Amino acid sequence: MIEQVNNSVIERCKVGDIKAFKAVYERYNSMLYSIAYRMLHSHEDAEDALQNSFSKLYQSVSQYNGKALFSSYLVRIVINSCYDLLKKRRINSEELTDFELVHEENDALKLSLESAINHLPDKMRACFVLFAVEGFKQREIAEMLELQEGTVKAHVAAAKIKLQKMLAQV
Amino acid sequence: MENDDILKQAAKLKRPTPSPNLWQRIERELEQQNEASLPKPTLKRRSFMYKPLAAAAIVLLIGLSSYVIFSLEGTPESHLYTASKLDDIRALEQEYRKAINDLEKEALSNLDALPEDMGPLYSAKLTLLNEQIELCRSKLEVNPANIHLNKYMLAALNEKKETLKEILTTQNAG
Repeated sequence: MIEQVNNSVIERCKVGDIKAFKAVYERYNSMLYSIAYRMLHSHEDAEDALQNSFSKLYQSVSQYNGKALFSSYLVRIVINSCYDLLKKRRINSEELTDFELVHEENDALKLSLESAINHLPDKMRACFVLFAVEGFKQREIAEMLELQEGTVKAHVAAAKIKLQKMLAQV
Repeated sequence: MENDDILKQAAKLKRPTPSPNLWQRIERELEQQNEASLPKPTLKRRSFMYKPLAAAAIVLLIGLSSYVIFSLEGTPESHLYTASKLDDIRALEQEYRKAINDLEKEALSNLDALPEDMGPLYSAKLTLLNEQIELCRSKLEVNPANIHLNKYMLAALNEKKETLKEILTTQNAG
């Protein structure tokens, strides 16, 4: 399980203390950036998504009631920012087809898998990335994405089949 | 590749890292939002136009929050912080008070050096914030775990800290 920021940091965020937002960024940026990157497959867009997400967090954190884990709350904001950017990208016909990531490793299989993940439909991709790459439980993902747990399971199962087919063609 | 292999490979994918200056970008964005929620700098030049409006808004705000604070006596338990949460709140309050002490001496000694009529405006704002803090403090003495009172107190302390910072920035810019 991801280590959460302590409550005093969240309370400081609620009164607009920017240093508290920095503490949140430092704790979660690696996970959030990874999710945004795998949703958008562009470093530039992933950075925009994170910037938008912190802007939304600044505006809405006072409504955070502690029912969900703070990390789940953040992931939900990031995923929604990614959906917004994907929507804009489609309107502007800027769908990225080339894979931008330059991995330190030259593992062809991993690169093919990254590329295949990029071709999954948005919600399916979100479910798969959160489950298989980031290691969240399906119940947590259902809460983050406001879906039924069964829907998450179905998306993950369908993603595995689609990825298998795509990788077989490589 | 088998189904399970896909999951294994996916779990091994590396996390990409954001550029080192991403936080600076976000910080600028948050500061802009913060500034947008505060009175604009141009207010100092046209303050005579805004003064009555600002004064009325402050009086209304103080009146409303005082009403809320006075009406919070005897709140139900759901409006109370737990003991551990209260420790976090007290720690945060101490943090704000320390920051205010550090900033206050320098900022207040040079209030007169501020450009145009900014000095009296800041002085009035700080007086109102001090009254708000004192009101919250006195109410918290009898109702220490009340969530709303603690939030008002922290918000007022944070606002005072930011106001003092603003005074110092304006002094240094001048």
